[in-house]
Amino acid sequence: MIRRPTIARTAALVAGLAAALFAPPARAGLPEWAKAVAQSAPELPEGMPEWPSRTLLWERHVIVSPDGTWKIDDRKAEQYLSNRVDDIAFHFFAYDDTTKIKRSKGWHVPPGERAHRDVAGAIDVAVSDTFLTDAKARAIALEGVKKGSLVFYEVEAEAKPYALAMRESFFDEVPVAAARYVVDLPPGWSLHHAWLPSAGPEPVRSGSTWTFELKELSPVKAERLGPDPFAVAPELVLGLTPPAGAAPPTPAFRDWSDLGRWWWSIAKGRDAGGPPIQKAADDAISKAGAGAIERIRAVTLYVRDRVRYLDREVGIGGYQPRPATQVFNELYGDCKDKGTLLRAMLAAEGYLSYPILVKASRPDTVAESVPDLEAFDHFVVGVVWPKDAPEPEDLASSLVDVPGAGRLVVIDATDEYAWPGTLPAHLAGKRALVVMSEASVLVTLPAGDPTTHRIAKTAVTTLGAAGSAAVKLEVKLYGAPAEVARVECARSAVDRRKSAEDDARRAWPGANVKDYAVTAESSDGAYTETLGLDLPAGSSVVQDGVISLFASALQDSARVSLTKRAVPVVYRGPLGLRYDATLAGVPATAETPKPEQIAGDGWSVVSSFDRKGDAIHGTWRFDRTRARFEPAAFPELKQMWAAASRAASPAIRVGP
Amino acid sequence: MATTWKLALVLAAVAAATATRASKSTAIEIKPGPAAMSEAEKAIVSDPATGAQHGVVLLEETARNDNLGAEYQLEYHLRAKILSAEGRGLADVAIPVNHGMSDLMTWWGRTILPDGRVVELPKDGLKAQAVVKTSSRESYELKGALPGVVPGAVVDFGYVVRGEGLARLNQVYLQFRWPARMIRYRWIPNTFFPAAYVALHTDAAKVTIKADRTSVLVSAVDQLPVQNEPYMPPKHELLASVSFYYTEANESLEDYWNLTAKRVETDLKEFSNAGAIRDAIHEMAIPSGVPMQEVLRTAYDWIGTNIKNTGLESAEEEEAADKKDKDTHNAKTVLKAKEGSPRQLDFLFAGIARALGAEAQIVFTTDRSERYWSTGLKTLDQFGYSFVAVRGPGEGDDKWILVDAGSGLPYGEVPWRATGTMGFLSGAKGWAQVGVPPSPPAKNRSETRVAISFSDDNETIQAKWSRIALGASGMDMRRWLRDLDPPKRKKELDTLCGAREGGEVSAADLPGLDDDSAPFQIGCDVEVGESNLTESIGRYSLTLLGVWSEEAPDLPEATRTFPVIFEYPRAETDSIDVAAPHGFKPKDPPAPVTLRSPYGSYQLTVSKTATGYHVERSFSLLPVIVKPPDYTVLKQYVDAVRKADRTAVAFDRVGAAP
Repeated sequence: MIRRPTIARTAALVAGLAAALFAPPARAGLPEWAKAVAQSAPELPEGMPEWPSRTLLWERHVIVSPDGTWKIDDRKAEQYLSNRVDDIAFHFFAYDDTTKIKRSKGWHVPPGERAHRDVAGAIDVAVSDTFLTDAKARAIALEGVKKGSLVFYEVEAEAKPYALAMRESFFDEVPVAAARYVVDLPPGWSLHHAWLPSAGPEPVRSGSTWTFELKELSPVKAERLGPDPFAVAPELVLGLTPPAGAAPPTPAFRDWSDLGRWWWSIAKGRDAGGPPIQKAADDAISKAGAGAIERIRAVTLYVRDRVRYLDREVGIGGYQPRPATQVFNELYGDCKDKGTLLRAMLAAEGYLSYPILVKASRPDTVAESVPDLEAFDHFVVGVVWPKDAPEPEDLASSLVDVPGAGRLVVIDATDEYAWPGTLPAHLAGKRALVVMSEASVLVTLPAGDPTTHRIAKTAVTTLGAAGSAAVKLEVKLYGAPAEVARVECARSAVDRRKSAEDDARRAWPGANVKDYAVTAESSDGAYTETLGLDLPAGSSVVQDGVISLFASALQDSARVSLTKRAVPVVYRGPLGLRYDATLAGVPATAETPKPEQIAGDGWSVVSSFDRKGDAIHGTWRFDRTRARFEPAAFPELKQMWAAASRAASPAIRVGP
Repeated sequence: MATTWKLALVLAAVAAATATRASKSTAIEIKPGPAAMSEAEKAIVSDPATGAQHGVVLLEETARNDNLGAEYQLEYHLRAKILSAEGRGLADVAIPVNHGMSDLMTWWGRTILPDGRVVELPKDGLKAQAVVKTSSRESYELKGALPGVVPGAVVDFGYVVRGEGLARLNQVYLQFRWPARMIRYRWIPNTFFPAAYVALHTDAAKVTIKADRTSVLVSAVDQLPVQNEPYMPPKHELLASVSFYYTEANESLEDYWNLTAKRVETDLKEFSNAGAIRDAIHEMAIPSGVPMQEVLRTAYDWIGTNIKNTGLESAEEEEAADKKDKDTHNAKTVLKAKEGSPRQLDFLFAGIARALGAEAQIVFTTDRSERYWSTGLKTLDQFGYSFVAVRGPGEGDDKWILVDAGSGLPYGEVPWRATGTMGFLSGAKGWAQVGVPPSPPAKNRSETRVAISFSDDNETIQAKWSRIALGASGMDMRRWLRDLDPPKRKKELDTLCGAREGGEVSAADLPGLDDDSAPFQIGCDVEVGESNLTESIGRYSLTLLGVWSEEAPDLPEATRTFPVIFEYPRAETDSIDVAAPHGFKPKDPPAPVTLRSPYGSYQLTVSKTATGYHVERSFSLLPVIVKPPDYTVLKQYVDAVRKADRTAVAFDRVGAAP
């Protein structure tokens, strides 16, 4: 799938090129639209500005031709508000091989001077981490920019898109006074639109010209555990419909099924298997258990582990999967390639499956009433769950009911560290398209739960002489936490071990780590680490004759300051924390702590304790089903943190 | 202390440095490797402990011929064993070229599977992707992925490309993320330009360098990855590498540094307009008969007060500054503008010092958190700092005092990143090396005061804390905060005060931040978090660690491969008052802790007060470098400090049974 270019990273590269290409500035007259903006530019704010610059106007004018191509006129005007800006200003126009740039220009009006034209010329740079891509950006660079400078850019381009749909984010890193998207349609054409992630203004329509305009936009600043500023910026989605009888070569999607049919048309036959694929599937399944999920998982693990992820997004290759046989032979591919091979292997074993398109990179990208390809950037597989097969409990977070397809278990064979049967957290709760040859269906993927994404610790502490102790710790991670740990372990087993040992020594300061073992993926999908710790006599852990039962229980629960916070707290997904602690060798006088049980909106905390002989055993369980807390819910959040902390705080008096 | 910083010099040792002029005895034949896996290759398995978790480079060989007029030819060959899924990335090929596929003269690429089958990537499997295109230049990458790669496979690929242009500096590392059995790099420089090379951190037993009249060949065997250790020297100073570069002239290293020193001296003389400097000295109103160092200190302070350092402006100063270009190019123009760049202020001070009768020279140093000075590398680009070395007339080389004019640091102190290593001392007669000692711990002192209390309902713990940090201990933080926009600064201040750990900050202040020569100061009121103090608790204890704590370094490993490198010698004092929770009274205080070590000292005393406890803590950490043989003693010291810092104070509920 095609991803949005990551433009910011290229700025340094372009700066170097631009510096080399700059010639002495040439005087030039401003275009009329720029003159109007310049004349009405607001006064500079006094003192220290909150933002280094502001966008006075951004306008994209798209003129659609009856043949389904379109002409794009892009304009932008910016005003620099600070002396602390770089003296080279850039404008990036992102495009790919569907678009040809006909003209690009920039003008700089320094305070009190006449306009200068850009003289660095056109600079096109690749702007993606993708291994092979046609995503690039035209950069226009203007030099000598300072406080009070006005800069103007124009780009003229022609595009031959893959579908009659448009999507434009109104995100900017600085405030925007006016942002406008104008579409001129051929006679008889119609347009439908949607704003994301929430409702936006209605367009102004004049004849065949539609104008969408937003004013006084202010960007959201990034915060820890906050929403992605790009994801919350307004985004406009447009679908174009030619008149009945007209048949431009570019397809129009009247509904999601249209989009699904188009996708089938380019993917047709590519999921075909063959004897080698059949044999590989047979071999994989031969080692699996009899249950449906074991068999599906065995095939998935073959694709997940053997086919290395390599994204090649050039032209239609951004949407069209490579044939399963090719991927099987090359053993590399991107999400749609791996997913297509998985479908072929599953089919070889009698499992019907469907492609599912979803946006992995951010939430709220599907406009229900306006189908478009850019709503998605990822491909997963929905496997029809056999009707008579029992559903394992731990499969709940991957199952979804789809009209016309039945009950599907959603499998992501691309994510090399996700356990098949556990929906990765970055997909949970998202709208996705189950692609069927005739009637594709939008569904909401399961949101996940604290059982699926949990960290379970078991600690057995045996007290020794003179305040010494030995600790056996087992940490089992499932779902998203397991995925993170597996990634770290795969990158460097040595560094992951150090990290785990550091965590343990933070929980038991002064402890010596005696042994460490890891199982990166067990048959239940767990990532398991076990550690043996020795606490020497006189350790600070056993001070004043008191030892904490649930050491560092909250280590894995992120927390932020709330008093001055204006944006929601957004967790990656639900989380469960479990802690089983046993303290052996405690004196008879030691009191057993009292249990706690408290719950709120989307969370609960439970602790319980019992004593057997000289051992006290405690369990602490924290479940957070809710992932988002708006500012109005901050008291609830504080209550949750306080309850979790208090329930995890019991200490046992083991000395005088 | 003198011995400590001198030890740092060992790290900057240069293995070899020789200009090349040379023939063909270095020739290597770059060709495809065997199409079958050898028994030795088959036997290689993943071993994370030795760095071989993902792969092993069996052979990497490169031959770069720059001596083709305006063109170059690059031959490359990689053969590697893949040991993990991550390691498969070694099979992703990206060949940088100027024009596209037409630059590729030769290509081969194959995967040798564990079962002996061989899968080829043909030349047309490579695709050209534009990286940059302008009207006058373009560059591409030829990209392809070797097919069929699985852990246990061997990949073998290579190519020959032609291109235009010369790389002024090409640093070739001989150590990677994974072990390398054999590396060979041959360079034929363009004979039209003077060329040189320098090898850094190479082990003579494993790296050989052979040079003839026209080329140089570097061969390395059994290179292991560098494993991370806390407080290790910069990676750049640990990895074996060879830098191939073109120079301005073909002089010897000694001549290069001498000429450079003389050029700096010429620049200094040209900068120092006698009349303007005389007028400035007149303004300083220095009384006669004052010792030379006092005279110089007065001049130094005068510059700090009267001439703005444009490199150290706060965000507000930068915003308010008149951006009209001020042509400050010599002492006269700098004094007139009342501002100058850090280097201009150094030149100004050197000129003034000379006019006052002192000896003054310009000194360049590297940022030692990134790299050390390599005398074998003929470039000033490696230096990040300039200072002035001053001494009384006729005094010996041990009397040089290094100062950083306009830095806001006291006279005789320089930023810690420049200390503990050697600097380049320029002079009319040539160059010399000068040691840059770290400042003593007393000058990098920090004092922290904390008052800990409980809310009326005992639900939460609150803290008021403040710190004043002198010299190096506060310099980075102060400069960083001054440079931030006010909203961002406010946010970061809250973070420093405790918001990072989820604390709720009710007041936060940075006194004296406007004064660019003041020490770093911070004051915070923060609700730290829940006390978890319930009705059923009869005894309550807490440690005194918090967001205000400057903990001793954590050195968990029992042994050490590389020296431990600290930033600067430091000394801390903490004064902490802890009020008892409501309804509780303090127990007897814990016993005092006193620690003494060659690396510093530590003292913790806790006394009972009418309302709770009073804690006094002092801690010093003296060294900048500790070599591996001395690691155990250092570890014992910091471990003991970390343990003592976790001392808890305890309270009993009033009226409860003891």
